[in-house]
Amino acid sequence: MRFVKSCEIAVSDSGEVLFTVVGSCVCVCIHDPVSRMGGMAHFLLPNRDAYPASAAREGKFGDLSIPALISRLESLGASRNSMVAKIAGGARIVMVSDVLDVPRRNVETARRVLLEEGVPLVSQDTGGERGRKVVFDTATGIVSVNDGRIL
Amino acid sequence: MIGPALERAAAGLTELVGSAVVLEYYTVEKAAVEDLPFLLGKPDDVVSLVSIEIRGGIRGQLLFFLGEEALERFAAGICRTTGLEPRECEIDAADVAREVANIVGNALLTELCERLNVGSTPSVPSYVRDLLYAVLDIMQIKYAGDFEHLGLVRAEFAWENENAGFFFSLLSPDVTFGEDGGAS
Repeated sequence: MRFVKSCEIAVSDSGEVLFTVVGSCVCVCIHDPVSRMGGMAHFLLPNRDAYPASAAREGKFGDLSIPALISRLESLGASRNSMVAKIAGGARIVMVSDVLDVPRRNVETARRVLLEEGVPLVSQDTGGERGRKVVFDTATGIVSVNDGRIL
Repeated sequence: MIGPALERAAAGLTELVGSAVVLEYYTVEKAAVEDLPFLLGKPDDVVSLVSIEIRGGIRGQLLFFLGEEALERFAAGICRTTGLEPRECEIDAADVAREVANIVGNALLTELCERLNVGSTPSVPSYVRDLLYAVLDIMQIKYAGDFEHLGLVRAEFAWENENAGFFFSLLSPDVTFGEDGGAS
């Protein structure tokens, strides 16, 4: 199993199992069942434009990391036409009162960008107040969350 | 000046649990915001986290992480001081974590304020219990838009020869630390 850090994008064409832990971040898992390839992006913030002072790192922002993930999968030989996506995260952990509402905006960004990129969102587990451990089998496309719930 | 503050915190914790708590080690450093999740624990460890906002001459946030085992040890220590049997001593984990954070935080803040001759006020502690990395990504989000590096104090306490928890204090990004751990 390979751990995917926050702000990281990871892809696999060898059936690796990827996992991460998200709170208000969102984890996007994209799978191509034809080529049996998959990848995961764990992004921190919704969009680059809203954070001009922050370091420009594509994995950090939803509007940059999701297209980058798709592009990396395509460069491995996956086809956008057969890709499907699952997302998890966007929890509102009670400690921080967040006027910017980052958790909700992260989820909305993931949905919007996937729609724009033409990759169907087939399953999601978002919101709530607890963190999630997300495990993604890139060979089968199975995504499990926390207690083994399958997305 | 961090060392004396942490020694003061150890004395406070000793009083809390009724037996000697000692400072095992501490470090003072600057760290990149994006490295915060990799300075502590395993991704899916469950932690209790208490956060205290500091306002005034010293600004920033103090964070206190307690693993499950450390939390149980502190709870047991506090129960012993009540004279009740452990099964009779119903103590809330959130209250234990807040009390520990208050003791360490106030010691740290008092020492810093005395040395720097400034006044600061801590907020009411807020508590959350969750997966470590889930909590840390919230902190990353909180700071990612504004700062690249933050001042950190990491300290570990022990009592009865066992680890008593790991504390991680995140201070204002404009508080810097000298080689001797003195803040400036």
